[in-house]
Amino acid sequence: MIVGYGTQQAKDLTGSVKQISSDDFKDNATGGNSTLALQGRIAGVRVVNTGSSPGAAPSIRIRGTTSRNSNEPLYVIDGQIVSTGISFLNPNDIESITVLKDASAAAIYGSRAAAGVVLITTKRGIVGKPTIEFSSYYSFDNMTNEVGLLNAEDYVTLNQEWYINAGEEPNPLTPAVAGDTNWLDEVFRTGSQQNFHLAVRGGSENNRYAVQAGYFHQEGLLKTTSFDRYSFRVNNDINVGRQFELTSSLDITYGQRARTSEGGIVYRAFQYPKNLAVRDAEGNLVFAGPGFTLGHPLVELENNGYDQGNLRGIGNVSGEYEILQGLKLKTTFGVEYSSNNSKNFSPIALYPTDGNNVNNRPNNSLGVGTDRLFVWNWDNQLSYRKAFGEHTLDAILLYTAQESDFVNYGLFARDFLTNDPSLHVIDASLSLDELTGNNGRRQWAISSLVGRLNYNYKGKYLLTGTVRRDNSSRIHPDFRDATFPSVSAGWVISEESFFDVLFIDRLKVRGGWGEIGNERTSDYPYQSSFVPNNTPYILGVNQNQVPNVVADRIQNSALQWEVSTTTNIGLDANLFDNRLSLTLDYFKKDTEGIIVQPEFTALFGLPPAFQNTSHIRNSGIEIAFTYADDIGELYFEISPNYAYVKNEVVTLSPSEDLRDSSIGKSRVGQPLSRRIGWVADGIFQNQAEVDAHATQLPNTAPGDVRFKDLNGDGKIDADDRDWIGNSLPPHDFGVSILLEYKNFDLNILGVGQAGGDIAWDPFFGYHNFIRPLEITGAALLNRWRGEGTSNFLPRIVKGDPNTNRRFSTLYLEDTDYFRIQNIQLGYRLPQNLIEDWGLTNLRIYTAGQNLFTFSDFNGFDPQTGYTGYPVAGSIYFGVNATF
Amino acid sequence: MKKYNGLTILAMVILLVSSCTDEFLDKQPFAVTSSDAFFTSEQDALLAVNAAYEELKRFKHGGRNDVNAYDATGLMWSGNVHEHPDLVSTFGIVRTFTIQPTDNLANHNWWRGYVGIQRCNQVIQNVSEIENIDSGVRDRIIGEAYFLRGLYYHYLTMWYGGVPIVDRLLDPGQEEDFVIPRSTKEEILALVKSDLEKAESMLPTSYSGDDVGRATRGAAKALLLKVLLWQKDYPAALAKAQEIEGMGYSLVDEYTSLFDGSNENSSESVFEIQFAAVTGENTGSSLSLIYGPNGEGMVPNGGWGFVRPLPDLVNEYEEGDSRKSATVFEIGDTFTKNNGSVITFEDRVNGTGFGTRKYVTDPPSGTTVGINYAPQNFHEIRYAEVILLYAEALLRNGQKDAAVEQINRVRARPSVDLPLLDPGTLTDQQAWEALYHEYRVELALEARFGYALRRWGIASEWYASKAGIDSPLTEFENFKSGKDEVLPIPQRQIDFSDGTLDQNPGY
Repeated sequence: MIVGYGTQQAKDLTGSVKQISSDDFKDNATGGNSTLALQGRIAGVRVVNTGSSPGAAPSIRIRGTTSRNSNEPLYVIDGQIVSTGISFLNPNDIESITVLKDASAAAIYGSRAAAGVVLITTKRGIVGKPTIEFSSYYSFDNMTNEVGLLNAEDYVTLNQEWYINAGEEPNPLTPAVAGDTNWLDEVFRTGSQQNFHLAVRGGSENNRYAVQAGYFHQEGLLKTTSFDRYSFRVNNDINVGRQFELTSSLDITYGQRARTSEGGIVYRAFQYPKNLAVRDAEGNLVFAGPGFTLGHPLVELENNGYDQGNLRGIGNVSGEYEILQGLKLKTTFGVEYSSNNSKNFSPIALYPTDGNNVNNRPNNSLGVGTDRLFVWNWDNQLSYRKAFGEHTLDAILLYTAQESDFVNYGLFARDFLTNDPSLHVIDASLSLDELTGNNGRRQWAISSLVGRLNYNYKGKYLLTGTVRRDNSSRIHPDFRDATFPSVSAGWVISEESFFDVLFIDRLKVRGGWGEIGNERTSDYPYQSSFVPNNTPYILGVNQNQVPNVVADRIQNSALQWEVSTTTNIGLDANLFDNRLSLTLDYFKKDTEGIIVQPEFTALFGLPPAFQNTSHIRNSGIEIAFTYADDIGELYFEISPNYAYVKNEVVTLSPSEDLRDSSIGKSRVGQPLSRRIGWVADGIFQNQAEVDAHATQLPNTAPGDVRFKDLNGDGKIDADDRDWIGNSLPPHDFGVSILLEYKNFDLNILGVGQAGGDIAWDPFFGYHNFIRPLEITGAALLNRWRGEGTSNFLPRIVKGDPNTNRRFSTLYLEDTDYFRIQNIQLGYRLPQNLIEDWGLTNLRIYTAGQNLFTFSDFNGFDPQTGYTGYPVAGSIYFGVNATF
Repeated sequence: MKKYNGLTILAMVILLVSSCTDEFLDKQPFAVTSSDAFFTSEQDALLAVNAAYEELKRFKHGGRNDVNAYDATGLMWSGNVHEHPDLVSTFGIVRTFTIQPTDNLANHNWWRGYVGIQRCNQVIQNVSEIENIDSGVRDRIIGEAYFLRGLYYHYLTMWYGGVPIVDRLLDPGQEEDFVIPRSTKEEILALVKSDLEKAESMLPTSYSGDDVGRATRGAAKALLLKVLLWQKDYPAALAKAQEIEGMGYSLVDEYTSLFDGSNENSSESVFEIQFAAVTGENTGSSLSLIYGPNGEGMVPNGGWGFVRPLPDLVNEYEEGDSRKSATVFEIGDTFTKNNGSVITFEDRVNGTGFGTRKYVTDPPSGTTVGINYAPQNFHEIRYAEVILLYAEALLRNGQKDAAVEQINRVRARPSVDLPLLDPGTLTDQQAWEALYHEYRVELALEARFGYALRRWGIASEWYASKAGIDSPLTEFENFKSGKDEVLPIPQRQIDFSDGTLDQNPGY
C-alpha cells in the first residue's frame, strides 16, 4: 500500500489509511472527474458534489469541516504535491488512490495535510510485451429531479392575489405576447458525455513505460455548456545498473469549458414570467414588461460567452541511489505549471430595448484574463530499512521545499457591434481608448525537515513516529519555525500465542496521536501596509481623478501556525476465513488557533487583522466492512461504510461569539455555521388567533406565520430566535456491492447523508415576495387562502407586513438522501471468441449514474439546492478492450 | 568508489538544505507600501488626505452594490418620499421608525463613519511629522482633515446622538482602545466645533486649478454655523453667519443647473462631494440611477426609483414654484434624453404617482458604466442652505424681520422668482413656518429637512401633524418622541464593546 514517501504493507499500518484501486471505481463511474471516484467508497470521505457543470470540480472533505480556512485535502500525484486539485486528472490514468485520514498517517506531509491527504498513483509500465488498453463510453444525461413551477394561469392568479390581499388594485399583467412557458424546459436539454482512453504499457526489466492519451467531451444539461479535455501522460522507470533507478512522470492536460453564466441562467429561468410566449410571430424573443428587473434567461444563454481554458503540466524526475544495502538516497524534482485563460462576454439586450425602453442596458462588454501558476517542489530523502532478527526498522530523513509564484492579467472593454462570437476579442471593441486592465502577483514558499521511524517487532508490535519542522513564508520570521510531532502504535493481537479465537483470522488494534500545522490563508496574512484605494476621488476644475492611499488592515506580526491535533483509535479485523474484513475508527481532531479575520469594533476604522482565535473540534466514528464470498459460480462482495462526525465550536474570537441577526453564524458549543432563526408554528387562521398570540408586528393578519414566543415575553422579536438547522450533515454512509457470475459483473454503489439541512426557499417565491412577478413555485398553490386552507404556507401579500420572509424553520429543508450513485452491469466476451480478434480482454457494459435518489427534497438535488447547476443522472454504454 | 559517490551526493544534499532555507521564505506582498515607508513626503500626505475625501462617497449609503452618495436616514427622516418596495428593510424601516439595533443600516452608518474618521486621523497624526513638506501645504492638508473629521462626527451625532470619541489612531495592543464608551452629544458637538475652528484657521478661502473641490475656510464656517445652531449658541451662530456673508457667495440664477452637472463648484457651492463620469471607474455618482424613476427608461439601466416623492411633498410647493418641476415628475411630465428622444413619466410601476427629478440626468454618451455613471457633484452644503441657516440664527436671536428678508433672498432667485414675504405681516410663528416651508422645498431630496426638524426641536410635532397623511404610504404616527430623534446604536457594536456602549432610549 502506498503511504507518504514510501510503501507499507496494509497489515503493518498504524494510522487511518484507506486505499482504493481503479478496479473499484471503474472508469465510467466518475463522469470524467477523478474526484468523484472517491464518493461513497471510504468512510469519512465526503465528496461535495456542486452540480454537473461540465468541467467543474467537486470538493472533498475528509472527516468533516475543521478549519475555517481551507478544508481541502492535500493532493499528491506520483509523489508530487499539486496545488490545483485533481479534477483535471483523467480518471482513466489512475492506478490507485490512497486516503490518509489521521494525523499520524498524514504527518509526513505536514502543514498542508491538516485536512487529510489524497495520494494518487497513476498507471506505470509493466515488464513484458506491450499491452494496449482501450476504453470508451457514451452517456445520456438528464436531470435527477424535476422542479414544479406555476403555469401561466396560476401565475397570474397569484400575482393578483398579492395586490388584492393588500387592498390594492391588482396589476392586470398584460404580457407582451401571451403564452404559457416553463422556462426551465427552454434552458435545459439532454446532455451527453463521451470518453476515449488509450494506454500502452510494457518494457524490459530495466526500462518500463506507460503512455496514456485521453479525450473527454461533455455536453451539459444547460444548453451551450460543454467541456473538452485532452490528456497525455508518459511514465517511465529506468534502472541504471543495480543501484540507481530513475523515474519520471509527465502529465499534460488541456481542458476547455464553455460555461455561460450557469447559476444565473437557472435562477432567471425560475423567475421569468410564466404568462409570456418565448418568441413572437417574427421569431424574436419576448421580454417581460415594465417592473420586471431580471434579465431574459435565453438572451444570456444564447449570447453570453463565458469560456475557460486550462493548460496544466505536471512533471517530475526522481533518482534513487542505493548507497548500501537498505540505505537509499532519493531526490525528486518536480514542476507544476498551470495556466488559465478566460473570456467572459456580457451580451447586449439582456433587457428589452424597444417600445417602453425599460431597463435599457446599452453596452455589451468583454473581459479576458489569463493567469499563470508556477510551482517547484524538491524532495531529498535518505531512507534506511533493515531487519535485525525479529526487529524491522524503516527510517526516513527528508528535506522538502516548495515555492509558488502566481501572476494574473486581465483586460476589460466595452462596446461591441453585435453579440457575435467572432467579436469576442478585445480588438473588436469600439472603445479601445477606455480599455481597463489589471495585473497582480503573489508568492509563497515553504521548507520542511522531517524524520520518520517505523519499527516492527515480529509483525506483532508496530510503532511509527514522525517529527516535522516547518518554515512558511506566510508566518512572521519570529514564529515561522514550528515543530509538529506524531506517534502511533499497533498491536496485532492475533499474532500472540495466547490468542485462539477460531473465527478471527487477524485482529489488530492501533492508536495514534499527532499535531499538524496549517497556514493556508492569505499569502501575506501578517503584513499590514498602505495600498492604493481602488476608487479615485475627483478634484479640480477639470474633474481630474486623484489617487489616494489607505491602510489595508490592522497588523498582527504575532500571527502563528494554526495547529490541529488528532487522536485516532482503530481496529482492523479479518474474520471467518478472511471473508469478512472490518475496520473501526474513533477520532478526535482539535483545530486550534484557527487563522481568521474576526470582525471587531468599528472604532479602528480598518479591516481587522488576521488572528489565531477559534478552536473547532471534530470527533466521530467510522465503520467499514467488506464481506466477500462465493456461492457456486457467483462471487460477491458487499462493502458498507458509515461515518459520524460531530462538529463543535470550542472557542471563537470574542467578537464572533455573538448572537447576531444574520443567518449562518457560529457560536461556542454549536456546530460551525449553524443558523439562527425563528420557529414557525403554523399559520394564523383567523383574527382571534392573531389576537391570542404574542404580538408579532402591527399589521400581522390571518394567513401570516405564527412564530413561537420562545422566551414567553408576549412579543416576537430577535430574542425569540433559536439555533435551527445544521448545514453540516453529521451522518454519511455508502455501500458498494460487487457480483460476478461467469462473464457477468454487476457493481452497485449507494451513497447517502443525513442530519443536515439547507436554508433556502423551498416554495420558489417567498424569498421574492417583494417582487410579485417573480413568484414562481408550484408549491405556492398550497398557500393560505382563507381559514382552514393551509397551516403551513402563509398568504401572499404585498408588503409582507408580518415579514413572513424572515428566516425561520419554514425556510429549512432537510437534505437527507440515499442515492444509487452508480450501477453497472458488465459482460466479458468469451476468450475463445475474442482471441480471433487479437484481443485478450473485451468487456462491454452499461451503467446508470445518479438514477435513483430517495429524498424529500424539493429542489433539483439535495446536494446543490436549486439555483446552482443541477446534478445529472446518466445512462452509460461502454467498452474496455485489451490487445 | 561507489560508496564515495554516494557520500558525495549526501554531502551535497546537506549543503543545499542548509544554504537555501532562509532567503526564499522571505516574501513580501506586491503592489503595496510598507507602513514605515509611508508618510515621508508631501505626495504621501496628499494621497492620505484624498482618501479621507474619498470615503465621503461610501459613507452616506445604505447598501446594494456600491451605490454611493445617498443618505437613507436623511432622505427618509425628511418625510418627503416613499421607498421602492425592495427597500423595505433598508429605507422603509427608517421611514416607518421601525429600525432595530440589529438592522444593517444602523451598523453601516457607524462603520463607514469610523472609517472616514480613521483616514482623517492618519493625516492629523502623521502629516505633522513629515519633514520634507512645504509648511503651508502641510497646514492646509491637516486643516482639510480636521474639516472632514468634523463632518464625519457631525453626521454620527445627528444619527446616533453621543458616540465614542476617536481622535487619534488606535493601538490594537491596547485593550482599552477596543471598548471606548460613548461621549455625550454635547461632547461630540464640542469636538466638531473645535475641529472646524482649527480647519477654519488652516484652510484657504478658495482654490484654483487642480485643487478646486477641496474644503475651504467658507465650508468650515458654514458647517460651524450649523453646529453652533445645534449647540444653541445663537449669538455665536449669528456672528458666524454674518462672517460668511462677507465671503462672496451668491445664489446661481438657474435652480436646475445646481443638479444637472452644468454648474459645478459654482458661486453657490460651499462644499460639494465631487463626482465625474469616467468609464471604468467608480468616480461617478449613482444618484441619477437610484433616483431615476423606476421602469421609465429615462436613464441607463432603467432607473431604480429607490425613492418616490410623496403627494404631501408635491402639495407643499406653492402655486407657480418652478422648483417643483425641477424636483419631481408628475404624470405627463417629460424628460428629454441626450439623443433627443422624449420620455413621458407615467408611473409605470404603480409607485406614489410621482417620480424623482432632482439629480436625474442622462449621462454624457459613451460614459455609461455600471451604476456610478452620473457626473454631478452632490451638494453637501450650498449657499441657499447657509442663507436659511442665517435666517434661523436671526429668528433665534429675535430678529424676525431680518430673518424673513433672508428667506426672501432664496425666493428671489431669478429662476424661482416667487412673491416676497412681507416681514411686517408675519408673526414670529409664521416666520418660523415660512422657514420650515422654504427649507423643505428648496432642499427637497437633498436629505436635509429631517435633520433640521431635529435641530429645530419640532420633530415630534411635525410628524404628529402629518399622521394619516398619504396613508398607507406613510406611517408618521409611529414616531416616538425621545426615541426616534436618533437611530439605534448598532447591536453588533454594543456586543463588540463588551457592553461598554449603551443603547439609545426606547430601542
